Amino acid sequence: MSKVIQLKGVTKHFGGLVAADNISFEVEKGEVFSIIGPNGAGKSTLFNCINGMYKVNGGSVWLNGEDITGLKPHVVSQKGLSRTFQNLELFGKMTTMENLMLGRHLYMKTNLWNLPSMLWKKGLAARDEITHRKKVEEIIDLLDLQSVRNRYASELPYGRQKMVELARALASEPSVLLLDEPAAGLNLEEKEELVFWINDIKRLFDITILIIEHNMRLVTSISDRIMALNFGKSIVIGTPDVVTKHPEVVKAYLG
Amino acid sequence: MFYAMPNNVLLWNFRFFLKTFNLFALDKRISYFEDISLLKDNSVKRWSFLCLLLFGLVPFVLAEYQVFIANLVLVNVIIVLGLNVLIGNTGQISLGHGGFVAIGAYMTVILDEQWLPFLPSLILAGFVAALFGFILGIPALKLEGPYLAVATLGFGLAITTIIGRMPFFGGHMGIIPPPLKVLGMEMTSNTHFYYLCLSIALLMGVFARLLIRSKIGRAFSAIRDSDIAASSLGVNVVWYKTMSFAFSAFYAGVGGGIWAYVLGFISPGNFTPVLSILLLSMVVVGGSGSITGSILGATVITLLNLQGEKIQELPLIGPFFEWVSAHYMSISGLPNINFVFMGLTVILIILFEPLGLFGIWLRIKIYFKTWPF
Amino acid sequence: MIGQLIMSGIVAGSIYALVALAMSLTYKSSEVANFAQGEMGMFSTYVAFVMLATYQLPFWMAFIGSLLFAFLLGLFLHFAIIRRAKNPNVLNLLIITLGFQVFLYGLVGWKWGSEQRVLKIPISQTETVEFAGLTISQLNLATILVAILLMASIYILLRFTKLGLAIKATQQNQTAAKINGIPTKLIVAITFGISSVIGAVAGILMAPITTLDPNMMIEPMLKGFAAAVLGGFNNLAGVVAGAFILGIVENLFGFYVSTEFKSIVAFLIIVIVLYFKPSGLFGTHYTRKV
Repeated sequence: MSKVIQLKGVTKHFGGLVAADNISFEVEKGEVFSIIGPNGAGKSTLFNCINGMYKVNGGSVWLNGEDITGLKPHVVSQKGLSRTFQNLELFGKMTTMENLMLGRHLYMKTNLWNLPSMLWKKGLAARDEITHRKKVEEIIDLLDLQSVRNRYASELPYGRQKMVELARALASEPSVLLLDEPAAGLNLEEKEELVFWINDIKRLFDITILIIEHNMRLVTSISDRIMALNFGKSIVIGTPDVVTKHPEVVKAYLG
Repeated sequence: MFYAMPNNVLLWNFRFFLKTFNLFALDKRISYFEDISLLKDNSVKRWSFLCLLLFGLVPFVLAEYQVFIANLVLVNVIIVLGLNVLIGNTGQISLGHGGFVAIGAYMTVILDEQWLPFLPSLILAGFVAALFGFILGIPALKLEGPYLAVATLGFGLAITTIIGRMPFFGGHMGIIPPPLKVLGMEMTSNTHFYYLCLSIALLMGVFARLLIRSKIGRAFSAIRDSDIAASSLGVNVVWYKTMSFAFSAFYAGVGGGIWAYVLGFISPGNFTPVLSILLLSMVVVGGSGSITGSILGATVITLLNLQGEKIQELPLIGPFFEWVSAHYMSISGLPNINFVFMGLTVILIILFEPLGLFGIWLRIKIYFKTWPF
Repeated sequence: MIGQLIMSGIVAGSIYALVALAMSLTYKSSEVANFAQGEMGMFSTYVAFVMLATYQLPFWMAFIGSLLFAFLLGLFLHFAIIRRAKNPNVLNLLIITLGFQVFLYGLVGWKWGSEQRVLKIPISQTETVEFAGLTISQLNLATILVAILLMASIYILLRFTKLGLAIKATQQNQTAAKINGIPTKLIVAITFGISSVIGAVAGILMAPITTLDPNMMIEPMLKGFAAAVLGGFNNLAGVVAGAFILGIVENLFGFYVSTEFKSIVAFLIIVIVLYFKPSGLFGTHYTRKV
C-alpha cells in the first residue's frame, strides 16, 4: 500500500518552546489516522507544519512521495491536501454556497480576461461557474446542507458551521483530509452524525484522513491507527487497542 | 384569472404596473444560469431599462452647470467602484488612493498631448496606475489596520508630492489637457462629457459586478474573512491581494484621467490626502462591498462636498443658520458650513446604519417586500 | 549645526509625541484610531484663545479652562457618538472620527473664521537660553519640557495608579475587566478625555510656534499618527520614541537633502520600516492560534 503522508523527524520550536520534537510517522492510503494528546502537546502544530502554515525547523514532510516541506499553503492544497480548523475559519460574511464554491477555487478557470463571458449562457466563465455549482450541490446533498445554502455562514448554529467547513474542505476534492478537532463543541447527536459522515466520506471518495481529537470513543471507533503525543514528543503509534492500553498514554492523558 | 380581475380599470393598471416591475417580489424556481446572471429576470431587465433611460435623459433636464456636477459624480463613481472592491471586498484600507487618481490624470493628459489618442491614453494610464497599485500591494501584504492606513497614506502623499515637484508635470501651475477627441468625435460641452462618463462608468460598473460574483471576487472576500482558510483552499493570497490593489488603482486611474478633462485643468492641489479621505468616506457611507453602495456613496458625498453651500438657499433651514450665524458666530455668512453638514451627515449615516446607504436601501426594499405587514 | 537641527527635531518631535500618545491611548483602550484628535486639540486651543483674548483671563486660567473643555469634548465624542455605533468595526469607527474631524473643522471655521490668530502665552519666543552649547528659544524649551512632563505623568498614571490599572485591564480584555467590577465604558470614556487633553496641550504648545487657524493641526496629526505607527501602536513608550525619531530625521533630511521633500520622507521611511517590521519598531504583534 502506498504511503500518502510521511513525516520524517519533523521539529518545530517557537523560541525556547519545542512544540514538535522529532516526530516521524507514516499514513497509508485510505487510512484513518488519529493524533491524540493533552492540550498543548503540539497536535495542531503538526497539522500546521504539514499544511505549510508553519516553517519546520527540522525534518521533512512528504505527500504522495513528494517533498512538500516549506511549500506555501496554497501550493500544498494544489497537491491534494485540505484541512479544517480547530477554531472554525469559515468565511463568515459569505453564504454557505459561496464558502463551498471557494472550495472549488483550484479547479475554476475564470480569469480577468474571460470575465465578460459570464454574461451569456454559453460563455466560458458562465459554463465554468455552472459546472462547479453542480459539483457543490452534490456535496450539499451529501452532507444535508440544503436548508442553509443561502444563509450567511456566521449566522448558522455551531454544529452546522462545522459541517460547512467539512463540506468546504471536501469541495476541493482532496486526496488527504486533515480534520482538527471535528467533534469539539458538538452535542451527542451531532457527534454520531460526524462518525457517519466520516465513514461515508472514506467509503465514497477513498480519502486518507488525519484527525486530531480528544473524544476517545470517537477516536477508537473510527481510527485505523493512533499516534499519542505529549509535550511535542510522540509516545506511541499503533492500533487503538495498543495505544489505549499503553502505560504512558494512560498516565499522561487517559488517566 | 378573469374572475379575479377587478372591475376598476385604474386598479387593474396599478396591478399591471406592480407585476411588470415586480414590486411584490416572489421567490421562484430559476436555473443556475439565471441565478448568476446579471439581469436575473424580466422585471430586473425592465427596471434596468427604465434606469438607463432616465440616466440618458439627464442632460436634457438639468442645466449646464448641473450636468457638470453630474460628470464629477460619475467620475467619483468610477473611482469608488474600484476602491470599494479593495476595501469592502478584500478588507484592506487605502488612505492614499488620491495618488492613483493623480497618476491616471497626469498620464492621460501627457500621453494624449503627444503620442496617443484619448481612449488608448486613458487605458494605458489606467494600467500605469495599476502597476503602481501592484507596487503598493507588496508592502501591504503584511500590514493591517492603522499600519496599512499609514503605509497607504505615505504612498499617496509621496506620489502627489513627487508629481507636484517635477517640472515635467507642470509643477504647481498644473497642466491643461488638450481638447477631447473620442473616436473622431469632438467633445466640447458638458453634455458630451456626460455621455462619455456615463458609458465608461456603466462599462466599468458591469465589469466590477461580474468580478465580485466570480471566482476572483470570492477569493477577495475570502482574504477579507479569513486569509488562513483562503490560503489552505488554494487561494494565492499574495497574488490576489496585489491584484486587488492593482484593480482598484486601475479604476482610480481611469477616473482620474476622465476627471482631468471634465475639469479642464489639473494641478497637484487637486490630489491632496483630503481627496483620499473623501473617497474612503464615499465607500463606507455608501456601503462597503456593494456596487450600489459605491454609486450611492459617491453621489451623496460628492453632492455634499460641492453643493454644501446651497444649504443657505433651502427655505427653512437656510435662514435659521443665518440667524445662528449672526447671533452666535463671529463671522457673518456661512463659510465652511458644507464641512459641518458633511461631517454631520457622515457621522449620522454610519451611526444609524452601519451598512451605509446601501443598508438603508436594503431596508426599504425589505419593507416593501413584506408590505403590508 | 547638526546639534541645532537635532534640537529643533526634538521640539517638533515633542508635539508629534503628544499627538501620537493621545492617539495611541485611545487605540489601546478601544481599538479606535481617533482621527479627530487633531481637530479636537485645535478646538480646545481656540477655546483658550477666546478665554485669553475675549475674556481677558490670566493665562493659567485659560490653560486649565481649555484642558477642561478638551476633557469634556473627549467624553462627548465617546458618549454621544462612538458609543452609539451599532457595528463598531475598525473602518466604521475610523470614518466616524473622520466625520467628526470634518464637522469640527467646519464648526471652528464657521465660528471664528479661517484667518490666522495669535495665541499669546507668557513664554517668550524670542528670548533664548543656552543649553549644552546650543541656543534654544524659551518657547521651544518650554515645549519640550511640558511634553516630557505630560508623558511622565501619563506613565505614572498608568503604572502606579488604580485608574491606570483599570485602563490597561480594559484594553487587554474588556469582558474580564467587566467581571472584575471595572466600569469599562466609563474607563474608555475617560481615556478619550485624557487623550483629548493631551491633544489640547499639543495644540496650545504649537499655536505660538506656528499659527492659530483651523488648519493648524492637520499636518501634526497625520505626522503624529504616522509616528505612532512607526513606534508600534500599542506600545506607549515606543510611540513616543517613534515621534522623536520622526522629528529628528525630518529636520536632518530637510536641511541636508531637500526641504521640499521633507514631509514625505518621513512617510517613506515609515513605509520602509513597516515593510521589515509590520508592527512598527517596538510594537508587539498578537499572533492568533489556529
